[in-house]
Amino acid sequence: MSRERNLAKIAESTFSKLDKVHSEIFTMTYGAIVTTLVEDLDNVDEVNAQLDKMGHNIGERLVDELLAKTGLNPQPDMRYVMEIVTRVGFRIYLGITPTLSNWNADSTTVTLSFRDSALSDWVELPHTLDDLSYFQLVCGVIRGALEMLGMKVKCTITADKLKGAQTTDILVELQEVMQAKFYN
Amino acid sequence: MSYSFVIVSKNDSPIFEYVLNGDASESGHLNQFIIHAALDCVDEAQASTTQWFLRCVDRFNDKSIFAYITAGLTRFMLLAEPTSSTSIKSEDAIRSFFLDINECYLRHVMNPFYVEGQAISSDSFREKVANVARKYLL
Repeated sequence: MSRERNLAKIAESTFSKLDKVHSEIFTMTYGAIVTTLVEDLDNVDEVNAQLDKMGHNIGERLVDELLAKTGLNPQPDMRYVMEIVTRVGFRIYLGITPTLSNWNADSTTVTLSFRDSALSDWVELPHTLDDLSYFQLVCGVIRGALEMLGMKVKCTITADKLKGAQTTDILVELQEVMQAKFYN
Repeated sequence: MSYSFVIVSKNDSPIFEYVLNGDASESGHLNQFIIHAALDCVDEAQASTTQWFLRCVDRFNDKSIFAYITAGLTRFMLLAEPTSSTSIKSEDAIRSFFLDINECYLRHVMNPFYVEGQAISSDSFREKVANVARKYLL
């Protein structure tokens, strides 16, 4: 519990120091990215893949900033890292704190769920795009960030608020803890 | 009291229609025609005021056509037709109706998947319009 409080405190103090952008600009920009991809690419699966790739690139860089600004230095421990992701990462970059639930016994899979986010304000998916996963970029960010911390994970969206679910759920599965390799 | 409400894009094509308490069949087509004719009056009324709410722009027999123009030149047209038992709502109620509809419309336009000038097919938008209409026009 105290660890959670500590993380929340770190998040607040970092958040107050960061530059802010108006959420509407952010929402519209992300919307424009997704719609442009939808226009440019042939099918929705490709759009999802592209969003995931973009997210991965963002995550790889963002994790560096996050650790530098907060002074945290986590070991590849899934529980602790996921807490940092939700309580600090999501809090300072998206202004929300998703909940973590359904940990499995050996702490390798967890479901991260959130209700509202600035990413999807006013968004309504047209029926022609039922397969589009609008939050795929977020999955990519988590995957990229955790990869830099030495954990290979797989992120899948299991429920989507834009498709009528109560919350948006992202299932995060740890696949491998990567060992640092030294060559001589 | 029956109402037809139409949103007309800035290119003069109707993009949304909602009928309250009326039958959309026979008189519906006449109403569409009257609203279409009233667009010319909107252009005239627009030139002589800086207000967004243009009040009653045209009349046809006992029907009155109210109009509202958004900052993006989309027009909201409301045709009000009194029945024997009720009279038309006050202009203030209709102004409030338009202001609330404008709010809903703005929210809808913010949807990145909506292309400006396209017909509005969203069910949630229709529902919001129905709620606003019930609130101010009944």
